[in-house]
Amino acid sequence: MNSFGDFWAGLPAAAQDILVVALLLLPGLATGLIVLRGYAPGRLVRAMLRRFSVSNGIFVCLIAVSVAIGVGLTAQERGLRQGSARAAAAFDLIVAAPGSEITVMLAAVYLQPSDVPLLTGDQYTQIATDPDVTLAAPIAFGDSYDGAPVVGTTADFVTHLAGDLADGRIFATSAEAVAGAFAPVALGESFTPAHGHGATAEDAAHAGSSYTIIGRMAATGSPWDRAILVPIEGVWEVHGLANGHAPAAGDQIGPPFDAAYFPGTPAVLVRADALWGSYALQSRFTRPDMMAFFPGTVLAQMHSLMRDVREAMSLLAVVTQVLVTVSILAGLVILTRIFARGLALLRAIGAGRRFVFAVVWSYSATLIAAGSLLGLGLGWLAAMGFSHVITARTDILVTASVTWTEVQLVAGFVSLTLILALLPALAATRRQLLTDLRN
Amino acid sequence: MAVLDAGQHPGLPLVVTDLDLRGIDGRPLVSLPRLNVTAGSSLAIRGPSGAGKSTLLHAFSGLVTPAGGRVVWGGTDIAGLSDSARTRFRRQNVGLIFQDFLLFEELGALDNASLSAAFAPRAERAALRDRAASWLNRFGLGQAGTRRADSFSGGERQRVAVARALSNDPAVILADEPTASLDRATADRLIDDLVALSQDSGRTLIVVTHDATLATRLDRVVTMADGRIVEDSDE
Repeated sequence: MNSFGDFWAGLPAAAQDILVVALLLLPGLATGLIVLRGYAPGRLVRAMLRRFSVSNGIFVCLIAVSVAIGVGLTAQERGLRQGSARAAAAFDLIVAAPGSEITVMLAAVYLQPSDVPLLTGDQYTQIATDPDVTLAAPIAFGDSYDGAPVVGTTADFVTHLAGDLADGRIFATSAEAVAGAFAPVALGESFTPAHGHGATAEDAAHAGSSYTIIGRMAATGSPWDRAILVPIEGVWEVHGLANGHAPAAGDQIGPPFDAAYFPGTPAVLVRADALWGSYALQSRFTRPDMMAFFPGTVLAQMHSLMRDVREAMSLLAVVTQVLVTVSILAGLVILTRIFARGLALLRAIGAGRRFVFAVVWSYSATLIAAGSLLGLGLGWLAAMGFSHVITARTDILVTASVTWTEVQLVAGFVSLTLILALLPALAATRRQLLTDLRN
Repeated sequence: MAVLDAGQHPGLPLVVTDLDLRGIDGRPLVSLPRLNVTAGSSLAIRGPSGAGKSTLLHAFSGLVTPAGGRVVWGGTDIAGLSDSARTRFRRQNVGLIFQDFLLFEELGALDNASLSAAFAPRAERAALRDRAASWLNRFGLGQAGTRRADSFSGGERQRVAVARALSNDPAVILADEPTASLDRATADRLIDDLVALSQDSGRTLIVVTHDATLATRLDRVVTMADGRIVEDSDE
């Protein structure tokens, strides 16, 4: 057993997946080999398929839709999970005022509008001056422009989030901005931010203040691609607050900030050089006046909480497939009755019951195989389509695709239904030969 | 349809004794104390509808299991065989022609004529298809091999059905009302050709028909009524 375990573990992942598919298909294929041994029913099966091509087409479509639902749901759920995790990947550790980690994560990582309490200048300074901290980027949100969130932060955070800019340069004054990859603003465009988001945004609240786009980030696959990033000093200034620096600092932007002139920030992204450092920082900054959490962990908890929903969806997909399969088998029994006279003819001219069994099984197997393959393709297309919709609505890049998991799901379905297809085949051999011949 | 070079074939004699055929409800359908058919001869079974002609023919082919009696073809009592053994007997010895020919409409002439190749042992398939093609050629349907059966005329369908019955080189040909859906001229030609085939090749031929004129073209005619033979041209 150990040697098999070692052998299995030593196989490349692709080889393991292919072997699992082969193992899942094996019962169905073995059934086919046993049923068809010694016979050549191909021409008859083709004739049966052509005989009621519309009915057969409907059967294939029914199978395809049921398979596509299973494939689409599985692929989409995984794509969404991976997309949301990818969007949070750049956010190592977030420190915020005590409250809901999920609310802060939704606001700071996924840029969902929400009101959260602020960290003070002293708290920020404690974070920024910790010896294990290599990056402490304040993130301030609440404004928007043309539906795009306007987020105040530091130049280091922009580089950390998206690397080198795709176009232009990083902001150098509090009136400059860098656009996300898909933000609805052009390089060189100036705009006045609105206070708030969506329908309740106050367009005139910051009249007289404006930013000019001087750079564009590369795509990150996260909601930040539609955001406009500005120096946090700019956000404070348009709200009539101090800009984080003493008046003597002049036009300085970026850290260090002066705690006495620091108006507050909803969240701080914190990085450490090493993983152990991040855990140490989380431990240090988890205290009564602030909280520190890993977005990845919170996300995993959310995915875990949603497991029940996921399982319910999977169950729904399986129930759909089972119901469709039962309908198909019942339909096949009915269709077989329509072919009863032809099948009786075969027996009359000397075909054994086993041959009739093989013909009906092959006919059923062809419909099942065609429907399943079509379903795999449809499921893939559906997952792609839904991915585009979800990406457009959430700005989280969801790239759902058919993987070995879906292929294995379909292989299992095919194998099971090929075995269940023995039932209508058996029913066909139990019919009264002479009665069918006369009808 | 002209029968050319049909080749000699050892037909099988038929000996029927005390045959008792009943319906599913046990109602008597046919009672036949004795009937002998010589190998290579042709026999017409005629009579009104409901006389039991087709039921008797089905018993001769093993499609019906008698409640009693024996149906012996060349020493083999098919009434005592299992279902699978009777099926095998049909495959090896009997060519069946049905009233409405029973073709697979989506298959071509050759695929219909060589239908039994699909379940024949692999070694025999090619020969069976060759034989079916050869019969189709002889019946003037050599060019119709791939045409779908649903495009055939009644005469063409009948010839494909005969080619199918002959494709397994049977010793016995059993035809159930083969002329019922044909016009007079085509029906006459079919019966003449089947008789000629029987005479030339030595196959035993039994034809069920309600047509008295056609029946007289065969070597012998028995007439049935109410499940019994009431007249035999040989007696």
